[in-house]
Amino acid sequence: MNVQLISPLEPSDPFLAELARLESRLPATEPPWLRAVRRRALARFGERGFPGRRDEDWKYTDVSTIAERPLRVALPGVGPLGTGAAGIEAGRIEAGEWRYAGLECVELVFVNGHCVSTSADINYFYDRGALPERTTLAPLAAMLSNAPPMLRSSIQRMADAPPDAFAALNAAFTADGAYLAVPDGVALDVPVHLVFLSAPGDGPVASFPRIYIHLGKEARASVIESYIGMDAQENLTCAVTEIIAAAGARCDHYRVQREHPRSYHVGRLSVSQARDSEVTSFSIACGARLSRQDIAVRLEGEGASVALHGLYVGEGRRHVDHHTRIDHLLPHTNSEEHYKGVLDGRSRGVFNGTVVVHPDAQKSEAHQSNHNLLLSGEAEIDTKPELQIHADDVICSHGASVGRLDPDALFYLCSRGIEAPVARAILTQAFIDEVLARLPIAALRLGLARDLGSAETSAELLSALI
Amino acid sequence: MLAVHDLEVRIAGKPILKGIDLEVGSGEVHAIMGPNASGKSTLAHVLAGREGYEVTAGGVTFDGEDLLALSPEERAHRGVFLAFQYPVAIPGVNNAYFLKAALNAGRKYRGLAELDAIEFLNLVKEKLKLVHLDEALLKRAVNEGFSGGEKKRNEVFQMAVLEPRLAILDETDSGLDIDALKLVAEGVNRLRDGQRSFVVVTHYQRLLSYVVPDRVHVLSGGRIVRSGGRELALDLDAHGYDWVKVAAA
Repeated sequence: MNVQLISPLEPSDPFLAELARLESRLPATEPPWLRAVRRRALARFGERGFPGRRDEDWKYTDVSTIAERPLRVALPGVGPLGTGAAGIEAGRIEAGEWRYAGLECVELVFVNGHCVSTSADINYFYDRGALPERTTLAPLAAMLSNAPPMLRSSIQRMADAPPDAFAALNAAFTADGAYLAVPDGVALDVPVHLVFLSAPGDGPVASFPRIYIHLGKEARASVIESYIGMDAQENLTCAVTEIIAAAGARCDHYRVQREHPRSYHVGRLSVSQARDSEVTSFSIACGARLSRQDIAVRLEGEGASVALHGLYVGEGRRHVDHHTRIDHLLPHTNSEEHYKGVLDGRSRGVFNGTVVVHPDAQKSEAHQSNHNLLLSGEAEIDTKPELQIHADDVICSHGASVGRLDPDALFYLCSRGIEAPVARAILTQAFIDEVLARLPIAALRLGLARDLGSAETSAELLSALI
Repeated sequence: MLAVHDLEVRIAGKPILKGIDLEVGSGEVHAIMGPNASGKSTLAHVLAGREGYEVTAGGVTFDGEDLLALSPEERAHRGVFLAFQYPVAIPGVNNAYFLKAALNAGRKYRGLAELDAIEFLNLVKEKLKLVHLDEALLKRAVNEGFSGGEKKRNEVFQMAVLEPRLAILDETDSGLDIDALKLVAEGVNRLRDGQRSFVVVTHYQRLLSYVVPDRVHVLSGGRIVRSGGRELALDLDAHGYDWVKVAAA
């Protein structure tokens, strides 16, 4: 790998100064290699800068509002227990307003990217048996001084070959996040819920959490990442998650983005899958002023399969962008992808789903769909399926649609006495519920249905009685 | 109850109804018969408030109120119900949830307390028996994957739950085999209580053997060309529509 050590950033560059400010607050136990990695990542960022419209992958998503404002990195220790203007009152952390009713889980809470759960909090889950003994769940910051080789190489890889500018920034500025390693043959009985609260600082701050999930052979785990805006206007969250699934492992990953309507959110999920592993991802985006989610999956072992499900909800002037890329590298690999979007007001959605079936990936199957519902004349969607097939014995399909509420269905509902706005809501919810219905965790499904004002909850409760 | 006077309706500028007069009293059953494209379904849709129809003359009152000025849901609240010729499948909308929303919207309008889930289920389970539908239907999406017969019975079932004052059946008999037709007719007959009125739109006489009308009107070329008692339906069955077209000419 070409490791260029010369930084094109001027020594006076504000990003370098910001890095120095961050590092002055980090523990002295941070190893020298990590400090070097941060500078290399910043150099990579400096080479490219923020993406512009000329960049095909960012053609529809203008990040100049992020690029033009000063970057102020959220520092550790300025959490709910800290003093000053920053943070959230401890009471709100205790109350846990983000929790899904009835969801039994292992919870780690972060404020502006830094973990506020203590080792005692985590030990509680080990003591109860919710976390098996040989499984490691820890704040990333606690893992860095003596990083396992896999984690170290992952961090170095993201810094030296960042897939985009935001990944480079994350590699440069990340100081915390979550580390989960599940050994061979171990299954977690309850999901791990990583809660990222975006809190007001003494001005908008940027947080860069990094999540590393490693599942050994035949290991199983479910991980929920929730990104919640708490009165935090104009914060930036730039998160990177990596999932490495060894042979026969199974990971269900849920990402719920409910940032403050005036904030910015850029997230990346990078997945590598070995033989016969199964990964399911749900990406729900219903917050932020501007959000971008990138998912890159590499099916690197025969029989590996992935399912990507997504739902984005736009209102007001929200911009919500999903870019996914699935690489089928070996035979008998399967992927399916189903994204739906509901766009109201003057919101704009972007969906770009790339599937690459490489020459060696014979007998593979890839299916993709993206369906969009426009509720207003001013809402917009750009949907682009991109299938690149370099093998001849494969089954691939894709379908995209953009539509409005069915006037016949609306008339049918209204003719039964249902008020027109309610009828529109019922039909919109039905569109959304199709995605929610695929969520295997009932508490999460009901919680999201409630958050999205969906009919699912009442319909499900009614069904339970019949 | 329902008074249609000199109603003229166009679709995309084309005249479809050319002056309809119809009076339906409380508890009466009126059959509207006629050949294809005579305007029968247009009349049914205009009464229920479907968009896309331009009323160019005349009007409709329901208990003295201008029906055409009301939205479809307002008409439903007043007690107008349309059993669709082609009930719309609505994927993802649970039948029970939909019907509970509809029933409670009507109750709210009438100032009645909304039914909770248990009260609602007790009510609908009774009504399902009326049309011999299985409770499993409640869990399914509205009309999705329903057979033709199930769709029509579902319409009558909804009518039974919503208890309209005026029910308009738009070719509810079309596409039904004789057994399904009898089930639908039985359901309708059990809703006849001397107060509730019906407008039965049909092409064929056979439904009227089971749902016996007080009056029969023949619609042809956008006009009612003949009205009479139930024997008119039998004459039509025996002689076909050409007979009235000639008679009207």
